[in-house]
Amino acid sequence: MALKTKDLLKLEKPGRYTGGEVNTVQKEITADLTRFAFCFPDVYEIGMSHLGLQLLYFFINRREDVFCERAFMPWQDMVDLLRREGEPLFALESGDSLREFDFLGFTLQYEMSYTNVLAMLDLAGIPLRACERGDDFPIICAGGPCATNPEPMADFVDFFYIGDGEASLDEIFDIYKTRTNKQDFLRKICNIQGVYVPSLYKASYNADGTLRDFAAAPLAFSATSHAEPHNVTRIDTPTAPATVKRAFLPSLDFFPEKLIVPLVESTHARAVVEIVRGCKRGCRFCQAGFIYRPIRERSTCQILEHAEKILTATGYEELSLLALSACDYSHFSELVDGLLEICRRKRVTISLPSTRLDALDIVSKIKTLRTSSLTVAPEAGSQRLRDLINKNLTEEEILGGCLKAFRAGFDKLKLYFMSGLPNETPEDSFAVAELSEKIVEEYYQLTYEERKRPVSIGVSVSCFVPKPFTPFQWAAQTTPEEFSRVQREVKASVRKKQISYRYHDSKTAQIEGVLARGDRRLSAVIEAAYKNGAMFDGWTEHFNYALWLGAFEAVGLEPAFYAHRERGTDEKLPWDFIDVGVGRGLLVREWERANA
Amino acid sequence: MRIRLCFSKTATLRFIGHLDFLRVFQQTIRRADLPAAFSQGFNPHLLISFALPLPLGMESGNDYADITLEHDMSAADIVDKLNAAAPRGLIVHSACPAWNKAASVVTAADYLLDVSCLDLDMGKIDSVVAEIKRSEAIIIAKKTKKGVKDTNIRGDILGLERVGEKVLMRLSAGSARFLSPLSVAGLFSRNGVMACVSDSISQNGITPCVSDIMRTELYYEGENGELLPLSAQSGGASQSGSSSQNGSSAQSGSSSQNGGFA
Repeated sequence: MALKTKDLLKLEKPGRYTGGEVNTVQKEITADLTRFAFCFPDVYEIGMSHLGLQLLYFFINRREDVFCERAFMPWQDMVDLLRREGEPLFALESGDSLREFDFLGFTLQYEMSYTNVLAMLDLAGIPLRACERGDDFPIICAGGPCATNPEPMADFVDFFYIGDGEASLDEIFDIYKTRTNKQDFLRKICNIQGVYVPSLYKASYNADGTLRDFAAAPLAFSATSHAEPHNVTRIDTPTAPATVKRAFLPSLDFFPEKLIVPLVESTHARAVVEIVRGCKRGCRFCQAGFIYRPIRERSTCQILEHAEKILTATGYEELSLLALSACDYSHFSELVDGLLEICRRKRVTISLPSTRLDALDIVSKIKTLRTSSLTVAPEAGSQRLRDLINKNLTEEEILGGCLKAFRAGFDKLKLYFMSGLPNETPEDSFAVAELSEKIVEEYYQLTYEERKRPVSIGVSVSCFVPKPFTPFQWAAQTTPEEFSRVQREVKASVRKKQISYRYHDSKTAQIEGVLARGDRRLSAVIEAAYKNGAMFDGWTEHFNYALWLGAFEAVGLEPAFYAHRERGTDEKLPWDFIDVGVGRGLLVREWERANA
Repeated sequence: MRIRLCFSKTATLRFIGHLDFLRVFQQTIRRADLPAAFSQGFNPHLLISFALPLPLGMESGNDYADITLEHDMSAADIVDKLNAAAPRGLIVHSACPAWNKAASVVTAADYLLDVSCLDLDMGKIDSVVAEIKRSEAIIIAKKTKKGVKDTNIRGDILGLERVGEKVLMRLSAGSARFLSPLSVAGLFSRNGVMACVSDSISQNGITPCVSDIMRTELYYEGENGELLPLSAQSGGASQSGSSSQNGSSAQSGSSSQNGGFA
């Protein structure tokens, strides 16, 4: 990096770009060192709040022969500065251009960051499409939850990594050292569990736009002739596997003993300990609940030991737990007692992610050290709809839980709901407002003395986006027009002033839905949107719907085909070739139950 | 007991603002596992008080913060533990018992202005220095809450001298009187001294910026009106405790500069 101090000082939060944080790793750069840049396609503060980045950073850096650095999407002012000065995007540890790396590993946490992936490649001077990159460019790989349907990004990525990072990364690095060239490397790794090399597969489509066939092309032809029908495969020309199995770590052994502590305030400036991967609930809308199965817990004493180590190594004054549903941890009560003891001793506060209302007795212990705000997610307003999405939470439990929370001193509740769920009726939509009002009434069951402050209920309604590998993967997503129309009416029906009712932008949800369930033809749309100027699409103030519509039109595809069309369970889906460990039969059964 | 830490903030840490630096310092103290005192209340936080916030972009030489320890520790131990836990760019030079509150006693600061960026010959710089010292009044337009106001800053320029390619400035600093080093630096812009500073900044591209300035020392007023570095504290009991500390702070190089204004 060769930017001037004066120019950096003109940027908003220049500390995002300088590195030098506590606990970062430095290695001597030698010719035989494999250089890997963990690329987070969003700004520094968000990326640094992501535990997966920190976990893999220390996991990869435990190898002496690989140096893992970090790179983030620069904010618009830095994008302008880099372009003006003709400087490439760089990694924070060495300050070296991303072009000089062996691997760029992007994490795909949300679909709306896809254009930022392209922007980061572009800023580093790397051609966007895999087929335009020769051996002298880094190998671009991508993982994370969105890699479970990698197809929309297929044209840009050399290989996807699906599943637990700790499981197969070592094998990939070992093979990299024996490669002769990039093609050779990709062919060698395509049989590793969790690895998907999109250039080795070919898709064809029916006249109605649905997927006709998706299969591995014979390796002998793969580099040049995608047109070759797959059935000419001879025994002596091996193909990439027909099914890509996700990488899976049976027990969570690796625990980073340190975390990098950002110098500028990050979104979540706190020590985080992963307590469990996977979730034992089966909420039908939740992708994480299916793709991380089965549930894997870390032992209580291991968690306590690591919580203490991480607090000592970071100096954070807040500790948080990472889990899809922390309260479902087998020994949750015991764990909280142990953590509270550590936190008291180290004068640290503890916070929990979204809490289940049926576990509030334990959660309220934490109240002694925390703020008066609590976040809960009933997801749907009516009992009928909660049952349909398999949320397993009754209205009595919700109201009883809220009352307990009020008694424990919480006076700010944040409630998360979704609307546009499959089979949702107008009554279901309005039930969100009704349930919120009932919760306010619960507060007035407290005596006058108990009510220290006026209660405030923040209701946040998002537009449901069906995701691959969930029972709702066949469902039609509600249109932006319908969602907004319904939500305007529901919002107008809220009478109690203690409730602030907000709903999300449903146009973003539509594009997210398209990318979530899209096929590889969407690569062209993503590229066109980026070239039209789309960037930071996950940021409300940056999202430009018109740019996306223009991109669809230019490529000749319809958003509605991907987002608002119900699929038959006999349709071939773009992600069917991936085995995430959940049987298709289970998903079909759950989908049929939801429709019964 | 209250401990005064003398430290410097340089390198990448110049890119973080005061509030971020406060948090970085608190985290460093926690990692160093010092027996630091916390505030009372529901969300206790570590007590630390900086002598004078440093602007984003500026480096500091001898900078100061007071912390309170719940039991005694040797100064060497405090310094070693903090340095082992500190991020790159934060170096703790000394620790000594504090008998006053740094933030409430600081009255002046030394700044080193790098004038090489102006591309002027040193004779011109010298003449500007001489002209400022000769003047009885230097009026600049100072921004206040109510708007722009003409202010005479001459009385707040306590010393001025060229040292090689740098100009050492001693200016009023603290809660009572404060003169921004940028205001004085502006007098050295190529439009020349005595031009209205705000005009010169807007008209001339080459004007020193905050990263051309380093704050090297902070002072408080002694009993006889003399300026003493915050690391040197007068008064019977403190003498023995602080004198050994002065030895280590002298290594950072500011003591030699102090002589300039004698």
